[in-house]
Amino acid sequence: MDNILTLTIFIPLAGAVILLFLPRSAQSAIKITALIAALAAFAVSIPLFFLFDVSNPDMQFVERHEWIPSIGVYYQVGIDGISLFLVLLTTFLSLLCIYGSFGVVKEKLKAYMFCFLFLEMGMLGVFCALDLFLFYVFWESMLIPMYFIIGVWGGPRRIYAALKFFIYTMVGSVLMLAAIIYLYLHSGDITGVARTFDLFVIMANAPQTFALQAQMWLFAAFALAFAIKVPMFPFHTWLPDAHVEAPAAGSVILAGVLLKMGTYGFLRFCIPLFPAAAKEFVPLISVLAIIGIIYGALVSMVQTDLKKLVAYSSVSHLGFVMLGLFAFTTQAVVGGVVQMINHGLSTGALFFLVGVIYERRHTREIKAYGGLAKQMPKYAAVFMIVTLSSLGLPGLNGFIGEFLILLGTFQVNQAYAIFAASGVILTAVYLLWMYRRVMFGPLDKEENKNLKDLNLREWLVFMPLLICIVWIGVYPYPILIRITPAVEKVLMILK
Amino acid sequence: MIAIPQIDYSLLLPHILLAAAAILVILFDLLLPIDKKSLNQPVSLILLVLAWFFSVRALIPNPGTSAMLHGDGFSVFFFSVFIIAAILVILTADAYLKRNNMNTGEFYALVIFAAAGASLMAAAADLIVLFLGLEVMSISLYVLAGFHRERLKSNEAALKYFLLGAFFSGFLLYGIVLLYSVAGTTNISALLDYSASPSVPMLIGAALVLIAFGFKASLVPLHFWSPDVYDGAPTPVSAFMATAAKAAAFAAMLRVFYYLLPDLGINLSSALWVIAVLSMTAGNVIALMQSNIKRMLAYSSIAHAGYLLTGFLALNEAGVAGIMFYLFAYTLMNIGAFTIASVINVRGKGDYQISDFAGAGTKNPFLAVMMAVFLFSLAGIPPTAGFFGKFYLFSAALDAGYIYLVVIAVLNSALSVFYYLRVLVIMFMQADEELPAVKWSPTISLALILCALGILNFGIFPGSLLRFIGQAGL
Repeated sequence: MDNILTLTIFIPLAGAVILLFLPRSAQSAIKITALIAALAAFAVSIPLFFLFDVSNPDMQFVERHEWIPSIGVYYQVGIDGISLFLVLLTTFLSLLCIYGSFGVVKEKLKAYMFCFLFLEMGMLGVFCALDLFLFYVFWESMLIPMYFIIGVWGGPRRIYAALKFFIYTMVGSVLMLAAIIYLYLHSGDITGVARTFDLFVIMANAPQTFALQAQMWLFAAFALAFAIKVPMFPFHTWLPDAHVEAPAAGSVILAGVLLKMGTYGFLRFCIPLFPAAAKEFVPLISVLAIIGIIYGALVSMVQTDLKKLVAYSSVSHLGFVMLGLFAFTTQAVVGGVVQMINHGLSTGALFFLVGVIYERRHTREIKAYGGLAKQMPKYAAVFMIVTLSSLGLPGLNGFIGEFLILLGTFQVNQAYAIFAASGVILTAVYLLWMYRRVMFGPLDKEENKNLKDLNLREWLVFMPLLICIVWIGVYPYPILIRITPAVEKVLMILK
Repeated sequence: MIAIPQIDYSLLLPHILLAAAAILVILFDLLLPIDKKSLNQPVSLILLVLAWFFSVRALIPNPGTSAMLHGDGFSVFFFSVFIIAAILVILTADAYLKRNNMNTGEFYALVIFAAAGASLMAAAADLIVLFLGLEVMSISLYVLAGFHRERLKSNEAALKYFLLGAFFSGFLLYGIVLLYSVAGTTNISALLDYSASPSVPMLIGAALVLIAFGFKASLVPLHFWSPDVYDGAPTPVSAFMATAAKAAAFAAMLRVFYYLLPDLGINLSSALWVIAVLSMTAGNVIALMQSNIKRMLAYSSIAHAGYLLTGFLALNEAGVAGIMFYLFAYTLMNIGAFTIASVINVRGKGDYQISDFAGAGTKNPFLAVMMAVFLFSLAGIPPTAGFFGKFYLFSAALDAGYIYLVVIAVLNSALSVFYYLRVLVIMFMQADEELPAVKWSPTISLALILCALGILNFGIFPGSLLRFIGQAGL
């Protein structure tokens, strides 16, 4: 059991490698292999939740092996309460995405599944890596499969969207690379030991090693990479394009997991490594987050394309997460982490839902629908629950996160909290209005009169999501208890 | 009586063996009946492997050095890189030569001669030996560039390369003369005795030598020849020029200037700083606008020379190691990319348009996936050796305090992603039903697989190569 994380990270890769040896025509063998790999990764990751030591705020399940000893690079992985749930979210959503793509993706199935499994490995690696070099390798290598998923299996403007996605992320990450190298070069300044990329060592020394000025620059280099990924206003423009053009499962994973890599990066690297700089950046980041919340919501309101609407809603939701993370109170930061998970579940579910009708009708225009509730009652019910979860109805998961964030933020800055709270109202407006236009009203379009309701495969995708949504909403305790110690540890560094 | 100095033949062994291999290939080619010419390829490959094996076996346990030649880890490393480049080019050139009815024996012999010259450059302890190596390499390359006699562009490339190359050989020679006038010797390490208070001839001489190397490495503003020459020369030759010749130039540059440059007292590094920035930026920006794959790779190779120069500027051990690692990785990925360009070219009108790649992802998935590996490596995206090499170069430069240079360099590598991805877009995301699938020889597959495996292996596990390079520094 001591290499459970390594197993989780590399099982998808093993599956991907096996896929390479299958003939392209063996469609069902490809599907089964991919599904087994994703299922195995998920199954292996489940014990993490139960074996996790609730009282321990430190990294757990740590593994350390020499990788490139001459320059102090280690293969070092481990998780705390923050990354635990992101790992689970990744294995969970990847499994659903792979299963949900059956029958939807028909062209180049083998390459598609290969990309997804490779992507899953990269994402898991990002959340588990405790060595900056290792982290960067995973961070960058995950770009490749996502680029292909958008560019090959995407919509009409997929090439533009894929390129934009890649370039945006790349520009942010290369500066982070320079900052990582800089951290490495100074990693032994205080202790006098050999230079290393070991995150434990760097984290213990970085706050004292660098003066405020240097910290600010390093923070900015890291923050740019993460802010593009989140995406924070004004770096969000790649997101609607990428989402709209990506295939349904691609959007799910993009919104569900990839964006969290940005917020996770802030919490794991930016804040603990450069605490003094982080404090200086609070006003800027909070204001950008609030602009993101309100701007995202307003832009969502005027969208005519369902996917674009959900995409902009992500900008708004992730604004909440950022606001929470940079309020620096336990409640707000815990709320931010919970909200990362919630957003992954509910926005992931929303993209799946959009995928369901897109697959049947091949349009995402809101005005092409109307009255679907009559024709697809089960679909409408699922859509309702997910919408309510997304807008933060008490009793469902979204409420927990938003409430904690607003509560925690209010204690440090009431103005921020008030502005952000207005975003909650706007969210309700655009989501419910969208729901009304799609589901209610007369079923007057000929094409919609023969739509089939959810099939078994779709049920199997939505059921687990709904269970999680309700579970977190009703009984978040097992989650909060695991997140809180890790968050408090990060906040300790700031004091 | 002329005193004949004691000659240490073990130091000469690699160079003698390579030259002998080239001569044997020519002789063998003469003896072969016309319908058996395909034997030239295995014979050349076997001779190269043997030359490598015996040289490495002799030199690794007993490294040595003399007034003329080094037999240290550095020369063995570059010797191996040149042999690998020659082997890969010979593996991949076969199809090109057959397609155009060209004589294989001469071609292989010239490639081996060029490799011999390059390895002499990397091993030189004396400026005259260095010049000798440079000329052996260059003259072979002039001929190779014009090897496609019926093709106008090939003639143009050869002529251009020859005229400019001869001109810059003059720079090198004149620089050597000036250095000799100061030091009274052409021994490289002896120059250090005079560098503490450098006289004007010494500075001019050093600058001239540097300019000559800059020309061979195609650094801005001495890069103008490279797009035309790479474009016109037979593609396998372009691959060799872009990799081995560039590696030789950087090896020679390190040999001469690694200890000399910091000693010279005046600030040549600020000039080199500007050259590095210009090379990276101009190379990448112009590469963005190319529609011809060979020209695109040519401009990208100018940018790569700029990246390498950042490692050179660092003038520390990590910089040397970074240059060595990167040149090795660069050899694999660039030869791979040129080879695929040559194979894919058959689909189009024969003018190496990037659009010829359209739909290759479906029609020729093997080639397309290989090309993706090479391009991602060129763009410096993990887990490829191109990434690790770049990382190592940049960390060396950062360690030496070149923060802005590194920031410009990383932004440049983000910029370069644009044009590398464009090829991927055309291969995988645009279907073009009209262009046919292509066929290629098994030796090309072998070479491509070797390149890709090397790139991935040394990208994920760079430790073993780093250890070797660590012992092979200057």
